[in-house]
Amino acid sequence: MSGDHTVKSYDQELQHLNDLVLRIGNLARDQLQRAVDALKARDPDAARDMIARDALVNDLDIEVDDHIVHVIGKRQPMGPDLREILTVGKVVTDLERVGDEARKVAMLCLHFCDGAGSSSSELIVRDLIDMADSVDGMLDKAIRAFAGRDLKLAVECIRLNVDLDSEFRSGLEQLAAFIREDPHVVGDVVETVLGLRAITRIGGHAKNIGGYVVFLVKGKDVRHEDLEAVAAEVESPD
Amino acid sequence: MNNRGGADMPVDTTQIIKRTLARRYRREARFRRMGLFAVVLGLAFLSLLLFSIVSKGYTAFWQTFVLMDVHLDAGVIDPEGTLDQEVMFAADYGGMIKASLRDTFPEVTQRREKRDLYRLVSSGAGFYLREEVLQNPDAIGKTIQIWVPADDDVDMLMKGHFDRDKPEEDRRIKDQQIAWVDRLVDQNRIELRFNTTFFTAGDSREPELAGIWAAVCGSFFTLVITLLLAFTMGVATAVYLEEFTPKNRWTDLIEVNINNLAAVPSIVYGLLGLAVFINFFGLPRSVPLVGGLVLALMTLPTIIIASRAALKSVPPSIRDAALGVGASKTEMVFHHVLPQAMPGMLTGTIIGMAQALGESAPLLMIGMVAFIADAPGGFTDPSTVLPVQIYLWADSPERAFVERTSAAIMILLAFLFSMNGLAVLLRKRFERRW
Amino acid sequence: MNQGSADKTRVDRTARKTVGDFTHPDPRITCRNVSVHYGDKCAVRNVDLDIGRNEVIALIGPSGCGKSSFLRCLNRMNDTIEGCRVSGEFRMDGNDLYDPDMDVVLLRAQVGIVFQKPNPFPKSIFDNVAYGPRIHGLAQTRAGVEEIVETSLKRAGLWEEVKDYLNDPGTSLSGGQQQRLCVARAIAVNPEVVLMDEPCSALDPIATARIEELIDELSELYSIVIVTHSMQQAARVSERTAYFHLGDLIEVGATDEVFTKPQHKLTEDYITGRFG
Repeated sequence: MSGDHTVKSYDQELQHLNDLVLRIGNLARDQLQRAVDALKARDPDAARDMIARDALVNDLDIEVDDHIVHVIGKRQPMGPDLREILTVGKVVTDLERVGDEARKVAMLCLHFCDGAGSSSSELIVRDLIDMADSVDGMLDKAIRAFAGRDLKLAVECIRLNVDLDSEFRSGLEQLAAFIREDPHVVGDVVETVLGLRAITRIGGHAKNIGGYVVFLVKGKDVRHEDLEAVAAEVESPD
Repeated sequence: MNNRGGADMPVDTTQIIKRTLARRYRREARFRRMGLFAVVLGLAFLSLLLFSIVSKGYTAFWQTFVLMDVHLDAGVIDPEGTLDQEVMFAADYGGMIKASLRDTFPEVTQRREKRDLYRLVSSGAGFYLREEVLQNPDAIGKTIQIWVPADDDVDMLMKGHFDRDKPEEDRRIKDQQIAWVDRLVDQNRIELRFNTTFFTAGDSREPELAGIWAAVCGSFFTLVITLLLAFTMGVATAVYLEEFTPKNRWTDLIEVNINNLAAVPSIVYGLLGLAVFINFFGLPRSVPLVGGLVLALMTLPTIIIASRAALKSVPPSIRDAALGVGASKTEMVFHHVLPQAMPGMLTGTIIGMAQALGESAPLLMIGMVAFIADAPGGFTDPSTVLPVQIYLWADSPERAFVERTSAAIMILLAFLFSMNGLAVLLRKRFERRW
Repeated sequence: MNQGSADKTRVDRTARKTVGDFTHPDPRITCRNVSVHYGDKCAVRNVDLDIGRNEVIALIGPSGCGKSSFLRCLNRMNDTIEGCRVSGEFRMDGNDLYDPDMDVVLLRAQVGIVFQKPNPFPKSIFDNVAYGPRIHGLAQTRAGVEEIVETSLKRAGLWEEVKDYLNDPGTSLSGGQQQRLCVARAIAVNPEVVLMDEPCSALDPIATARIEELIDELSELYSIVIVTHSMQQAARVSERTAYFHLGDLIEVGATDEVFTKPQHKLTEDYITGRFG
C-alpha cells in the first residue's frame, strides 16, 4: 500500500478486511483438502465433518460482507481503496463458492462409502484427486497473489486455468473409456463427473481471484479478456 | 488511542488550577473596581461641571422688569398726527421713560439723585416703549402701563447677587436705589419675567439687552459653509484614497500627513486662514464664509479618517459580489460600498461639526471676535459665533454677564448634545447588519 | 491497451508534470502555461487546462494548492488583489482574456462567479438579482427586469420560496437560500461560464444537495467550474476533475477515472485520505 491513511483506524479496518480474506481463503483450501482426504480414505465421517464445517466459511463470508458495508458507509472509499474493498467482496464470494464446490467432492466420497461404489472406483477418481492437487496449488497462488498484490502469481493462476480446462477434457474422455469397458460403473462415473466439474469450478474461482488482483492493482477489469490481453495489461505502465 | 501522553501530565491538574483561581479572580475584581472608579470619577467631574454651569446660568433666563406708567405725549411722538413711522421712530422715548420715573418718585429733585433714579431701568427701556407705540399707534395721547427691563444692577439685586449688608461704596448699587427698588417691590411694580431678549437680541454693552441670537446665526452660517466643504471634500478624499489609489509610498505619506493634520492645534488653522483667505485672497474679515473655510480645513482630517474607517469596515465580500456580476469599480463604490459606509461617514461628520461648533481659537485669528450687535443676514456679513460670544462675555466686567456666560454655555452644550444625539440616531437608523 | 505500450517508460508517479489529457474537444476557455504570483509567492505554476462547453469541471486539492487562484483568473477577479500577477494565455472563444483591450466588466458579465461565503447585497431579494441586468442594461423596462428576476430565481430553484418576499432583504434568507440567491444573481446576466468557489462549504447537507442539483441543471446551459474541498461533491457533480497540488496541476481526467483509478501518486494519496 502507498503509505498510511491520515485516519489510522481506516488503515486498521482495511487491514482487518485483508486478514479476513486470508482466513477465509485458508479455510476454503482446508475444506478442499479435507474433502479430498476423505475421498482418498473413503472416510464418511470425515466427509460429513467437512460438510458441517462449511458453515464456518459461510459465517466468515457474512462477516466480511458486513464489514464491507460498514467501511463503505463510514469512509466513502475512493480510488485504490474503493477497488480494494470491491475486490475483497468479490474474492470472498468466490472463496465461499470454493467451499461449496469442495462440499460436492465430499458428497462424492459419501456416494462411494454408501457401498454403491464399484471395485474400480479408486481408478475412476484417480484423475480427480490429481486435479484437486493442482487446483489446490492454484488456489494457494491466487490467495498469495491477493495477499501480496502479486501480478505475476495472478497471471499464472489465469494461465493454469487454461491447462486445467484441458485436464478436465482428458479426464472426461478417461471416464468415457471406463464406461465403454464396463457399463456397470456408469453410476460412479456420473457422480465422478460432478466431482470433476466441481474441481474445475474451483480452478475457475482461483482464476477469477487472479483477475480481481489485476483489477485491484491496475484498475482494469480483465475477467472477460483472453490471457494475452491480460498479460499485456499486466506488463503495461499505468 | 494510546495513553502515553498521560504519563507526562501533572498528577492532578485540577488542584493546581484551583490554587491559581483565587488570585486570578482577585485580579479581575481589582481591574473591574478600577474601571468603575474611573467611570464614576469621570461622571463626577462632568456633573460638577454641569452643576456649576447650570447653577450659575439658569437665572439668566429670567430678567427683572419694571412696570411703568408712561404718558404717550402726542406732541412728542407724532406732532403732525400723520402716524408716519419715521417720525414716530425718531421720537424721544427715553425722555418719556425718565418722565414716568420722575412721576413715580416725585420727591426726587436733585440732578445727582435723578441720574441715579434713571439708572433703575435699562438704558434700552426706550426701545421697548418705541416697539409698543409702533405696534399700537392708537395709544398715542393716552397713558399706558408697560413692563420695561430693569438695569442689570437692579436685576442682580433682585436675584440676590448683591449683598445689602456691605458698605455702600463696595457695591455697584447705592442705598437710595435699593430703597427705590424696595418701594417698587411694595407697589408690585417690579418682577422677574422670562428673558426673551436673551434669545432674540445680539450682543450689547448692557447685559439686560444682550442676547445670543447674532452668535447663533453666525454659528449657523459658519457651519453651513463648513459642512458643505468638509463633508463633500472629506468623503471624496476618503473614497478616492481608500478605493482608487494604489497602496504605495505616496499614499502612505498622504495618510500619515492626514493623521498629523488632525493633531495640529486649531489656532494654526486660524493663522492659515488669516494668511491665505484674508491676506492673500482678500476675503473680508469677521465673516462666516472665512470662518467656515477655516473650520472646514480643521475638521477635514477628522472626517477623512472617520470616512476611511467606515469604508474599511464594509466587508470585502460585498465588493467581490459587485465586481463578480460585472460592476465597474466606480459602480461598486457608489452602488454598494458608499451606501454601506454612509452611516459611519455621517457620524464622523457630525462629530467633526460638533468640534467645529465649539471651536473659538481659529476664529479669533480671522477677526470673528468683533462686537456684533446685529444678527448677520448672510455669509459675508460680519458675525461672531457662540463660543466666541461666550469668550467675550466671560471677559466683560459686569456681574450680570457672568450668568449670561453660563447660559450661553448651556445653549452651546445643548446644541452639541443634540448634534451627537443626531449622530447616534443616524447610525442606528442606517446601520445594516449582515 | 496494446502490447506496444508496454515498452513505454512508466509514468513517474511523483513527477510534477500534469498527468492526463488537459484538453477538451469543444473548449470554451483554453488556458496555457498559466502562472499566478502573489508578491514573491508562486500560487499557480505553468498550468494548462481547457474548460469545455457545457461541462462541469471540478478543481480539487488541499488548501493553498492554487485552485481558487486559478479559478479567479478566469474572470480576472485576481485583478483586485494587491500584488497579484497573472501570466500565461487565457482564451475564451479565441479572445485573449488578459489582452489590455479586453473589457473586464464585459468579461465578468460573461463569466459569473459564486463565492464561498454567501454574499448577497444588503438590499432586497429583487434588487440583488436585478442589479446585474440593470447595470448592464439587459432590460429596458421594469417588466423586463421582473421577467429576468423571475427566470433567474426559478433557474436557481429559489422562486417558490421567495416569490412572496421579493422585497425582504436578501440577508434575511437562510445560508442555503442566500447561496442560491447568489447563483441567481450570477446567472441573471446570462453568463457563459459560471465559476463557483467552494459554494457549499458554509452550507448544511440539505442545502448542499440543492446546490448540487442546481449545478446539474445549470450545466445544460453553462460551463461550470467548481472549486470544492469535498471529493464526494466533486465526484457527484463534475464530468472532469483536475487535481492541484502546491500550485501544480497534477492530474486531470474524467471524474470517474480520477476517483476510481487515479494515476498520479499525489492524486491517489489525496483522494484516499493519505495526504500529509
